Amino acid sequence: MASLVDVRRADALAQSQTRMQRALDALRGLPYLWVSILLTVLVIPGIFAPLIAPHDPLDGDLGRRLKPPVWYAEGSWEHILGTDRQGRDQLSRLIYGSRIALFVSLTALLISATIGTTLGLVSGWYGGWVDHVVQRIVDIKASIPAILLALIFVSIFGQSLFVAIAVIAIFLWNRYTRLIRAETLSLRNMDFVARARVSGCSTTRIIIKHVLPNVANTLIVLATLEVGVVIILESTLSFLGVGIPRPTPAWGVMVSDGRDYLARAWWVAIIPGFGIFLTVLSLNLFGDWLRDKLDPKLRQVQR
Amino acid sequence: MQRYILIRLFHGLIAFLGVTIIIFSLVRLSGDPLDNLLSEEDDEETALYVRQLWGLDRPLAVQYFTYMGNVLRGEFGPSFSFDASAGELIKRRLPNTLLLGGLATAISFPLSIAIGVLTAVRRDSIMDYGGKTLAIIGQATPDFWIAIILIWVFSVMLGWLPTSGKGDWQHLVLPVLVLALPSAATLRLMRSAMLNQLDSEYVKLARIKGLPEWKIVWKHAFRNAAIVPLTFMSVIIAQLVSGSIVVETIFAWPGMGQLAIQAINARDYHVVQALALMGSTILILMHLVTDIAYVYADPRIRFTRINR
Repeated sequence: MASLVDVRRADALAQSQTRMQRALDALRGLPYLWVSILLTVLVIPGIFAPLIAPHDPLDGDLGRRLKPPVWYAEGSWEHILGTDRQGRDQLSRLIYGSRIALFVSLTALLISATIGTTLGLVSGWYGGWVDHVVQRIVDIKASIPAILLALIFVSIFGQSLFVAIAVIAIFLWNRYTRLIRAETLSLRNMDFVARARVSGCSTTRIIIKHVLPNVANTLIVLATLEVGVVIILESTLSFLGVGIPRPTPAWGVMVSDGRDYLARAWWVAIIPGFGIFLTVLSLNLFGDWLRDKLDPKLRQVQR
Repeated sequence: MQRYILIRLFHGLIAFLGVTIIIFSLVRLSGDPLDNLLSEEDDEETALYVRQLWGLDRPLAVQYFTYMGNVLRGEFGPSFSFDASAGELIKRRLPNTLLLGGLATAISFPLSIAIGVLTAVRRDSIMDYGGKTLAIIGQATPDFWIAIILIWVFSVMLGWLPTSGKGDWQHLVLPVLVLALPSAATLRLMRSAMLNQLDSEYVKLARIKGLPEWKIVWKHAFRNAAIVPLTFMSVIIAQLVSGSIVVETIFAWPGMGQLAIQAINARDYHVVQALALMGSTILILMHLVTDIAYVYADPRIRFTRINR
């Protein structure tokens, strides 16, 4: 006689099999081109920068300034992508630049997603005047252009990595608020929320344990799509001199450094920009794939 | 309808107050403004005089209103690095920025709307795919890098156009081009709005009725789809404000964007604040205008109660 326990066990087994199946399916559909580009230009160099970089990114040698990349006759394997005006190795600077990009985007995303999601959950759940207040805060945020916000912050707190992260985080939270608020509004009236309330859950518990998991997909997709935005914003701020301070090898700083040497040494400015382009392109396309997989209704969201 | 406009005006006012309070408090956070107003040689008496003149001895709330009064009169305080007041500097630079921004919008907006309609009508054609590919590439490319590539190709390698500065029409080509590129996003928006309309029942009816295709596209579908790029205007203006800072810095164009970067490098607080206030006010006004234009363009909204 099959006991209830056996049935449950069989059930669990079947479930784990389908879960495996699903994981395999997901793996099969993975956009390998974009994922591998991401791994090679952002993730791996970002994590293992000190192990991979052939030279110190800050250590210049004026005798070796503006050396061309290896494919030129004067180029050498010593400096595969050439050197900049201070004789610093471009490849090493690019690799450390990935580390900056990775660090800035992860921290800025974490902060902005936390602020944005909290506000979205609260305003969607409570509605009324709470919602009004949050909407007005969103209005105010939308009225200050990102670069001008960065200018004010830098004029007051000076230029540093953390000011750059703060500016980016403050600039990007509102999209989470809008989407999470809309989803919370519809979830609030669902049966399972009412049942949780009947069984004695506190509001905080319902929001965290029941609403939040249901908006997780939206959150993941949105965050992935925002990484590209963060990287472009960070590099633009750094390029203008209000983001990551010199001599830190941020990609935007490198493009700015090469600006005056376009005639003699185009690679100094053009190659780091190509790095940004490649990273953001593959991030966006990977994000598109993830969105179609996890949360197709987000397709209308503009990037 | 009137109620809606009043509510929107009220919201705009709140946003304006919020922005000014934030900027004002950030400024006060940065330290005693007296340090910036006085020079090394000034004695105690001058200090006291300046303090009273700027109302710095009054409570913060009073100071805020004094500050706002000055701002509304266009007085943003003296500049520390230029020989003019912040308001004067902005007045001098504004026409240059408007020239670039105006040209960029005047070229890109009609063009991207037209191409958006065309790619929707010729769906899945080579042109459609080309547009899509360009949109994907464009989204991943930072403005400043495009600008530098254009300088590299057209100024350095080919020598056709000047690298920077203000002068004849040739100086305008590259900055306007770079400034116009981001608003090409309107193209994709217009395309999807048109596709929605072309799929609808009334278009089918018009076809059955035997209307010529150009009439269906331009007189029926386009009119209904045109509201979408209209709502996108405020996003485009926001991009223009940020874009002009990047473009003017790269092309050494003597506008407000370049002024902003020069001011920040000289730690010229008054100019930075004045520019931030200007930029924010423009955005608030644009949000208002688009929201109100939206109601006029779409009669359905007039009769529903609106609360976003």
